[in-house]
Amino acid sequence: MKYDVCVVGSGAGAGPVIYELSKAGYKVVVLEKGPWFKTEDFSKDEMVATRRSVYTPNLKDESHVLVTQNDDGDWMSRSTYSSGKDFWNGSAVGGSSNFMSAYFHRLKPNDFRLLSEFGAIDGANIVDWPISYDEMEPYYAKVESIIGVSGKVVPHSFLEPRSTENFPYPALGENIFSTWLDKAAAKLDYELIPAPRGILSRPKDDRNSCFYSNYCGSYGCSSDAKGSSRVALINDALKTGNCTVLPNSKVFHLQTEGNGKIVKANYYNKAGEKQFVEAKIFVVAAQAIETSRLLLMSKNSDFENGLSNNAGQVGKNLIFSGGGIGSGQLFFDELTPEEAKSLDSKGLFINRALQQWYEIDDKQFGGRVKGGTIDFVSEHANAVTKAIKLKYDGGKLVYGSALKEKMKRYFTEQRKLKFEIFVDWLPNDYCRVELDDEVTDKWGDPVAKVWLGYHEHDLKVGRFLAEKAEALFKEVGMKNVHSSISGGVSANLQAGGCRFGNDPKTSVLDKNCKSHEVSNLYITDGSFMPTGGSVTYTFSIYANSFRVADQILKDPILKR
Amino acid sequence: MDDKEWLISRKQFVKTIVLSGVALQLPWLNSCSSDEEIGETKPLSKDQYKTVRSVQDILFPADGNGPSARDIHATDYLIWVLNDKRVDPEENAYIIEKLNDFIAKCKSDHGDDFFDLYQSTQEEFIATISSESWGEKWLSRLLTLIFEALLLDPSYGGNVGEVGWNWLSHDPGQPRPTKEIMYPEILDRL
Ligand SMILES: Cc1cc2nc3c(=O)[nH]c(=O)nc-3n(C[C@H](O)[C@H](O)[C@H](O)COP(=O)(O)OP(=O)(O)OC[C@H]3O[C@@H](n4cnc5c(N)ncnc54)[C@H](O)[C@@H]3O)c2cc1C
Ligand code: SF4
Repeated sequence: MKYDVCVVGSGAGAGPVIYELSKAGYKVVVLEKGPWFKTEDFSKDEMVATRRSVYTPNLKDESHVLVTQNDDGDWMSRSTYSSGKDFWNGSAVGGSSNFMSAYFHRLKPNDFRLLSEFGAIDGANIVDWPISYDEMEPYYAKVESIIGVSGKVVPHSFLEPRSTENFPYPALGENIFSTWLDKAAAKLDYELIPAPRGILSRPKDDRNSCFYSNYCGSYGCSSDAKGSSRVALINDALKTGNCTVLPNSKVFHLQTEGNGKIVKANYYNKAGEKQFVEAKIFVVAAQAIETSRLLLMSKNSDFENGLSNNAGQVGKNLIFSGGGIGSGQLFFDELTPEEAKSLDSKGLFINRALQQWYEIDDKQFGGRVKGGTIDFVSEHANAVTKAIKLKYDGGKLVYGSALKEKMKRYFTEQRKLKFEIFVDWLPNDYCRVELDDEVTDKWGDPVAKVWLGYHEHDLKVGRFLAEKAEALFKEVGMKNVHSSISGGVSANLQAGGCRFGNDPKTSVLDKNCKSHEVSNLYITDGSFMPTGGSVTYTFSIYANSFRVADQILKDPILKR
Repeated sequence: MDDKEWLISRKQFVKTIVLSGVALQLPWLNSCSSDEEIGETKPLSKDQYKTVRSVQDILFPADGNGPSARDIHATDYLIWVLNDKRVDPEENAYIIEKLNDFIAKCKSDHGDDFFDLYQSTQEEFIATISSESWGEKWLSRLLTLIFEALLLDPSYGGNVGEVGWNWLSHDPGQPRPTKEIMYPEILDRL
C-alpha cells in the first residue's frame, strides 16, 4: 500500500502532522523506533523511569559519540556507552513528550529576529528566522487548546502578544513556596509570573486532569493530563481510522530515485528484518540529532553527502538550551509546624518564572543583549537519585553511620527548591552532528557524532540571571543558595541541525520546513530552529508542526 | 515486636558478639554461623558473597538508625543485578573483578578473609581502600546498588516491607507498578 504521508518518529514534532493529516482524511503511517507504551503501562517505578534503559535504548545497542573540549582546548570524543552519559530522551510512541515536565513558554517576537535585534556576535552563526512571531501566534493558540496549556496570563515587560486573553485551562495547584516567592519578589521589585504548563488542570475529552502525582518529569502520566503527543494527538488520529502506527520500526534510510523525491522509507522491524514503506510525502521528526543522522545516512548518487545536504548544511548549527541550575534549602525547624507541613506536602507545583530579563540592558554587556528565562521548580522526588547525590562530601566518599545520618536529615528535615535558567545557546561551528567513523549501533549503522561546543557569551548571560535568582532565594530566607552555570548540555532540550531559511546555500529547509532539495520531504521536530530562544522548545515545536501541517495540506503532491 | 524494639535488641546482640569476640581474641563468628542462611550466590562463590555482604555491613550498618544492608536484602539484590543480562556485562564484570582485587588485598594486608576480620579492622580496611581511586569507585558502585535495594519498589527484592521508604518518610507515588509493567517484564512484553 502506498500511503499519503509517512512520518518518521512520533514525538512532539510528529504529533501535529499525524493529527491534522489523519483528520483531513489522508492515510498516514507512523514509523516509530521505540515500543508503544499505553497509559496503563505507566507507574511511579523509579527503576523503570530512570534506573534502567526502559524508555530509552540500551547504550550497548545504541549510543552516541560526544565531542567535547578539554581544559587544554583539545576536542575529545567518547561514546556514551563508554562514558555512561546517556543522550537518549524517550524512544516510544509519543517520544520524549511522554516524559517531559511540560514547562511551556512561548517564544517572543525578538526570538525570531535575534540578528536584527541584537546584532552579530563573533563566533556565533546568528540569523533571523524566515517567519515572524505573528505567523506562529495562531499555532501557539492552537496548541494551548488542543494539547492543553494551563496557567494564568499576567501583564509583564516581556509578555508576548496573544490572540486570546488567557490560557484555556486555569493554573494548576501550587505549593505554599510559590506565595513565599511572590512576597520576596514584591520586595525586590521582581516581575514574578505564573509559569504555564502543558498539563490539564481540568478534564478534556478522554483525558483526566492532573492528580499531582509528584512524579512528572521522566515519568509517563497515568491520568493523560500531560500533553504528550501520544495522548493529545495520536490517540485522536487513530480514531479517524486513517492512521497506522508501527512501533519498534527504526528507519535507517530514506530512498530517492534520481528525481529528487523520496520513494521509500527503509526500516528495521522488531525482528531486525529490513522493511519499507512507500508514501507521497515524508515527514521526519526523530528529534534533532537523529533527524540529522538519518539524513546523513540516506546517501545515494543524487545526494552524495546525505539527503538534502548538497549545500553541506545538514547537522550544522545544532543547539541546546543554554544556562544552568541553582538551588536553595529551607529547613523545617526554622519554620512553624504548619509552614513546614505545607512546604513538605507532595505534588503541588511551584510554577513561577521570571522573564523580566528576557532582554538585558546592563553596562557589563556594553549595551542591550538577549537575556532569558528563570523557572522555579521543586527538587525531583526520585529517591535513589537523591541518595546518590549524598554519597560524597567535599569529594570524599561518605558511608556507614555518617551516610545514614546524612540521608535521614536530608530526606526528613528540609526541602530543596531549585531554579533553572534558560538562555539562547548561540549556534556555532563546534556544535553539530556528523556520522561517526567507528561506532555503529546494533544494526550496524554509524551512530551520531555530536559536537557540543558552546559560546562563552551564553555563560555570561546565564550568570547574570543566576545572580537574580539567587537574590530571590536569599530574600525568601533560604540556606545554601548556589548555582552552576556551564556549557554542559541538557540532552533533552535539543534543536537545530536542519535550519530553515530562504537561502538554500545556508539552510536545509524553506520557511515551510520543506527541504530545499527534496520536493516531498518535510522536517517538523526542533531541527528547523536556527536559534532557539530562551525557553524550553516543546511548545514551539508543537506550534510549528501545526503550522507545517497546514502547509502540507496545501502541497499539490498530496492531491496527486 | 515493633521495628524499634527489634532494632534495639538487634543492636545489643551485635554488641555482645563484639565484646565476646574481643574477650576471646577471636574474629567475628557471624560469618561461619550464618553460612546456612546463604541461598543462591551465583555468579559469586560463597566466599565472594560473604565478603561483599560484610562490605555492605560496613557501608550501610545496623546502627539503630533505619534499616541495615541486611534488612533490605542488599546482597541478594546485588546477586539479582549481577544476573541481569540487560545490565551492561562490563559493569557487572567490573564489580566482580574489583571484588577479587579487594579479597586479594585483604588477604595480603591482613592474612585473612575480610569477613573473618574484627569489625574495627574491617572498618580500617574499608577506610584505606576508599582513599584509593579503584576502591572508592567500587565502593561507590556498591553504595548505589544499596540505595536501589533501599528505595526502589519492594517487588525488586529490597526495601523489605517498605522499610526504606518508612525510614526516610519517602512517598513513592501512585500508581505502584504491577508485575507485568515492571522491569524487565515490560520490555519483553512490548
Ligand atoms: C525528562 C524530560 C523532561 C522534559 N521537560 C520539558 C519541559 O519541561 N519543557 C519542554 O519544553 N520540553 C521538555 N522536554 C523536552 C521535550 O520532550 C522535547 O523537546 C520534545 O519531545 C521533542 O520533540 P521531538 O519530536 O523533537 O522528539 P521526541 O519527542 O523525542 O520524538 C522523537 C521520536 O523519534 C523516534 N525516532 C528517533 N529515531 C528514529 C528512527 N530512525 N526511526 C524511527 N523513529 C525514530 C524516537 O524514538 C522518538 O520517539 C523534556 C524531555 C525530557 C526527557
Ligand atoms: S498526573 Fe500531573 S504531575 Fe503526574 S505525570 Fe500527570 S501531569 Fe505530571
